[in-house]
Amino acid sequence: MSPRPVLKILGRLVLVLAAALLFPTVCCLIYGERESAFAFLASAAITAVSGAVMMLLGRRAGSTLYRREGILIVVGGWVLASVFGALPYLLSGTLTTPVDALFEAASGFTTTGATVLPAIEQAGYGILFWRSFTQWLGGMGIIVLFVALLPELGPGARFLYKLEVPGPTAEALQPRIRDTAGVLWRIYLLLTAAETVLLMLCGMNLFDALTHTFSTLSTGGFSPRNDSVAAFESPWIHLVIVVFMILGGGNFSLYYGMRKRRGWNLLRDFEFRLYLILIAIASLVIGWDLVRSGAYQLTAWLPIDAVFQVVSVVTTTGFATQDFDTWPNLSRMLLVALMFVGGCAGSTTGSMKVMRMLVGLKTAFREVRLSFSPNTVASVFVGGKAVPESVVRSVTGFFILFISSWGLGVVLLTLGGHSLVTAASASIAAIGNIGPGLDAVGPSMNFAFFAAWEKLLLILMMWLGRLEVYSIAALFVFRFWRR
Amino acid sequence: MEPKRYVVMGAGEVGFHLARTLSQEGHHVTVIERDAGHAERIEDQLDALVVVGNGSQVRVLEKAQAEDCDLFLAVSSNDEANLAASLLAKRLGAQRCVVRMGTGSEVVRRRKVYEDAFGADLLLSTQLLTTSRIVNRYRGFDTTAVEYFAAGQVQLRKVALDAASALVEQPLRDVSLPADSLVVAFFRGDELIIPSGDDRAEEGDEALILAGTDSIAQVERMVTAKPAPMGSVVIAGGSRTGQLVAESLAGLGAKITLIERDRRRAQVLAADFPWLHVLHGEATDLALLKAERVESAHFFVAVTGNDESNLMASLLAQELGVPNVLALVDRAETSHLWRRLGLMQVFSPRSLAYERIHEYIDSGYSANIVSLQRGAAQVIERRLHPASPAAGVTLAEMKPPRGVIVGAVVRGRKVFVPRGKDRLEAGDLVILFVREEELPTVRLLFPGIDRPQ
Repeated sequence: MSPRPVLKILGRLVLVLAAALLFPTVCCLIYGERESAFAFLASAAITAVSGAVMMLLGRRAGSTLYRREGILIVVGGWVLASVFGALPYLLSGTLTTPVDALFEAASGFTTTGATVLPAIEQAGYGILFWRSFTQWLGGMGIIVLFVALLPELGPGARFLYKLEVPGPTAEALQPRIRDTAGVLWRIYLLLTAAETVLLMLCGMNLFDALTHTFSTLSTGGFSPRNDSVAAFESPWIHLVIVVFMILGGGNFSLYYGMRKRRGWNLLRDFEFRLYLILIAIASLVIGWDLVRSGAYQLTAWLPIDAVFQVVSVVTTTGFATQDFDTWPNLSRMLLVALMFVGGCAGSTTGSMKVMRMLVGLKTAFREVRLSFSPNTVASVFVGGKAVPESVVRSVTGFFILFISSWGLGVVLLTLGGHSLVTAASASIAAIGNIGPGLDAVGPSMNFAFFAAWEKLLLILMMWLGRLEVYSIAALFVFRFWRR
Repeated sequence: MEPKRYVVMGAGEVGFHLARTLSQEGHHVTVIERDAGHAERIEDQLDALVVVGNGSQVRVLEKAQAEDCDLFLAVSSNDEANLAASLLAKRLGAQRCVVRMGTGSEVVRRRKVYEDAFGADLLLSTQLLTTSRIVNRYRGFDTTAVEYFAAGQVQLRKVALDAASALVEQPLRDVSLPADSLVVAFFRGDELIIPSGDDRAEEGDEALILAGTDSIAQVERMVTAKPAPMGSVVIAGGSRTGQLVAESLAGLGAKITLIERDRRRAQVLAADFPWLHVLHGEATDLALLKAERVESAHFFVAVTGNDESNLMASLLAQELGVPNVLALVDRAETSHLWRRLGLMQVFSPRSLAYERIHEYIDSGYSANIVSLQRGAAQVIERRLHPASPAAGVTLAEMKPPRGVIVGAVVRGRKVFVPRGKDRLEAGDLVILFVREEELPTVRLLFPGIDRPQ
């Protein structure tokens, strides 16, 4: 493995990031925040210089990429994005320690939405814009953006694309992967425009509409308000956000199919239907639980709040309109269970994904069948189609890695002296890219109280979840580094 | 009968038997064979000219004098060579071509495309013949029980009637069947009855129904109070034939278990057919057969592609108590030995192909015929020629004799049963049911492609 092509490509990626840092600068100038504007400009300058140096170091690299280089680029890209994305928080003085700044940036890019900001609304427009903007960039994927923007990646691009979008159905929509990435980003932009306009029609101002849209479609969950979406009283705003969270949790290649007028294949898609059914059932159960326990007033808000919380959690967004930590135990437990599910494959959500859950369960049932009829050869079928054995293997491996990483996270966090509920929910909130958990990390709390090493652990788990385990796990395998 | 000129390409089992029978009947036969050694061996056993070479080369076809033969039979084991040879032979001037293809599923669905593209007058597949034979046996009929016409768009089925059947309860005109279906005939003992609207069937009759493939199952449900019991089926061997048998029997509603020795092939089958229970293992493994309760199956078919395995597996299945056991044997000459071992239902795909081709020649080259009650009636498929007296005429004007039924008309993608005021058009594909004594009338009304145009 040679570091040169890795440096060369990462250098370019860092330059793209430097360009991205100019957007919040504009925002600062509009709202007259001179100090923040300076912080962003300085961050952009540092980022640009670093990128240029990296490109210089790797300038003589050949253009061929192999698997290992690909993995290093993807993981390196996410680490560097978080590192450089942390600069504005530090330089503007919003956050004082490097670990906190890195946590906020990683939480943004991985669309987790867990925050260490003590008082959100005091951070200023520029910083709040950047927070949501990092989620928007990370939602569709920085590598996908990079592939779409830079033409000269060549055949290696397909590689990188597949490593960042490893889900069980990473399909190419166009013969050229660059065009596929472009198509996905255009769909993403279209949805962004649609939601912003709708939110403004419901009475939000441009800043709130844009930042909330960024965090909704990317299923990230950062809100520029202390009270998250609960700060807005119009039920229409809640409903618009619910709809777009659901869309953000759908498979984006399906939207492309709709655009090509292949009918309403969205509702014909097996996974998407299952995802909607799951949301409906969970909402009904929680609504019933809230009524039953009497913890909640019977108003029109009850169904809206129940659906909002379910959608927010299952799409791994993490917006809150209610402090669901105060809800009865059945509802709390159900919400935590939904955190493990996530949205559809090929969406902006984190966690395990509906498709993997289904394939994993069906694989397990097949093993049960094989226990009494060992000669049976059976495929795992999803929606009438056989799932290739390679996918079945990869899903099983993913299950094991995901669950054991979560478990390890829980153990390490309890080592830090936190309650079991806090540790367990913080661990899934990080690795599932959700954001809030229960107890000390509940929707009305934040992650600032964790020790520095615990924050670093949570950051690692966010990356692990966003890149769907395998790429990062590879770095911990000795053979990966062997020449 | 004046002797005809035949060219047989491929002197395998099918080709060799055809060549021998035809030359014994006094015809002029030329055989094209690729393998020089094999050609030498058969030359001693045949009163025929043997040409060594590749039948898809013009030079070889010319040498075999294919240009003015009455019938060119491309029956080698190579599909592509057969198709190419047929095309070339037609161009060179052969009157008619018979092409044998290996893959059955292609022939079921795309017969017309191949026949038109390669100038084949009869396209047949040993797999398909084997499958229809197995399906017919499954439904408990020794003769035709299911046949396909018009490239699979029309099906003919024989159905046993019991006392509760709608056809027994009321006269035919009061039974409302789908528009693209027709009750063609009743079989009562040895008698064949072409029913009119006033007739009704008797208990124990068998009815012959013709219908579009989409509605045939519905028609069958309407005329039989309870469909024939569809027991479970075990298929030994997941070859292409095994797959085709599985697909056809599943279409009839059977529960199917398939045993395949090759793991990869088993996985492919398991992935392609969700309804199929696939087992990986040897069909000759008694422990496996017992563990999977093969003895409770109604029907066992051995189609592994290996005669010895088929023999062994069928004997085991018979021993376990499966009531119906069918075995496929490639080497037709050994089948009497198998019968001596107690396997009564043994048949060879090659002899089926041979029988089918011989039937085609005997019938005066009328493709797609099904012979019923030992030739008492036939089902014929004809494309309506513009010069035919039946073209452009309504059925009422034509007044076909009682022994001729225009069963179904395929016009483009549409399938319908013509009534009195329906007009037949040139280019229609008509499926005719004809009594033996009316065959000359049909030749006049619906001249086939064999008439000089």
